[in-house]
Amino acid sequence: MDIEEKIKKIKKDYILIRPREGFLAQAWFDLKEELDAKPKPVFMFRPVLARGLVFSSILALVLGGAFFSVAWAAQRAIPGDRLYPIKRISENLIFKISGNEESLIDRRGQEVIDLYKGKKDSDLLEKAISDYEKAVLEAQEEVEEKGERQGFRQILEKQEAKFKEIIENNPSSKDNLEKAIEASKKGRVENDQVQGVREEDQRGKGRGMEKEKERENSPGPNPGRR
Amino acid sequence: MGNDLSDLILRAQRGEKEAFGEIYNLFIKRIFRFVYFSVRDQALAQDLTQNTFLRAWRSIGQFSTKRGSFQAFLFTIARNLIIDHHRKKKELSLEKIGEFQTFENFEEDMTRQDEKRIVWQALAKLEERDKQLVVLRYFEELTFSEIGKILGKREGAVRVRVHRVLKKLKSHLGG
Repeated sequence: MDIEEKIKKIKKDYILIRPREGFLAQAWFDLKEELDAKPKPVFMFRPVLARGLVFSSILALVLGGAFFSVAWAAQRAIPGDRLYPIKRISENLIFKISGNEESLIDRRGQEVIDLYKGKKDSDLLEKAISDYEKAVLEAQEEVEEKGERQGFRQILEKQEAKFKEIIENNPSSKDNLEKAIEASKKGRVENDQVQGVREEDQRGKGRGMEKEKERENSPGPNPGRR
Repeated sequence: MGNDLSDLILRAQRGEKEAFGEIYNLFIKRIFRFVYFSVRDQALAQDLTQNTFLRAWRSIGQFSTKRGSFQAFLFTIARNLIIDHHRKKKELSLEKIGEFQTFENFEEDMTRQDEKRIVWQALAKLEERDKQLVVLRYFEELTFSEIGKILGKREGAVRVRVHRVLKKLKSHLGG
């Protein structure tokens, strides 16, 4: 037997599906009453979704608030403190996104100084100095890419002066802090070089434009051969 | 009936409830069984059927024969309500739909008639949308064009789909 015929055979069973008599008798009257009622306003979110949204918004607010509070409290932390990792995470969010990496030099430098003042162990100090060097290097790369950054040189000079002051007060710190001073100097020199190269480039471009104009006005290559 | 229905629709569009009542009586059984076939619950099917007509009343002003037949218009609303229901009740699995246990009226007859039972079982194995396709085409006897309007597909695509569904059914029947 053909499949379509088989389906048509079971159609009789399908036709047997019908609402209960009680419903049929009453349904139209019930519906008729509803026809005049204004449709319920359509909410943008279904109740379940809306509840979920409210709950997740509150949760996000609470978590966000908690994170910002802890991050705020962590800003004074120095290497070795419990909150120090939070300080670093929040810095990554704030300074790297905003492109204000020079501030990181200031912060790392201050940490080195605070560790000296707090007489923390030498491992932490070494790590802090290494972080300072890294911060200088990263800011320097930024300078190479985007040109001289306002305050970059001044920050390095300021840090250098602070390190020298500590060495004067505490000559035993000289060995360690020399590295930090060296990093600052290197950063300044690189910055000046980048600036010099850029200025030269600018002047070179000016000369290049004049040459281009001369070439445009000339009759062409090897005019004597014509 | 075509002219009568057109007249009723026009009157209903003008806000005549009695005309809409006649349309309601013409289609209520068909809409109910189409809905019931998908949800397998008397009370729920009644609610969805009522909602179908309520929505139809509210949007009857926008209905135009240029965009399809009135029965396609009603079945589209019903189908959308069924889809909404299934979305809300994800726990209603296809396997469950495929079983005849909730068919109150003809379950016993079915088990006695082996050949029919096999066809029903094959139909139950189909996906929900394919089952609806069979219902609309072979039980409700809608045209391919009408089914296209309901499913939001072109007539040709519906033809192809029906052909594939029949093939599937055949394979389920071992033919």
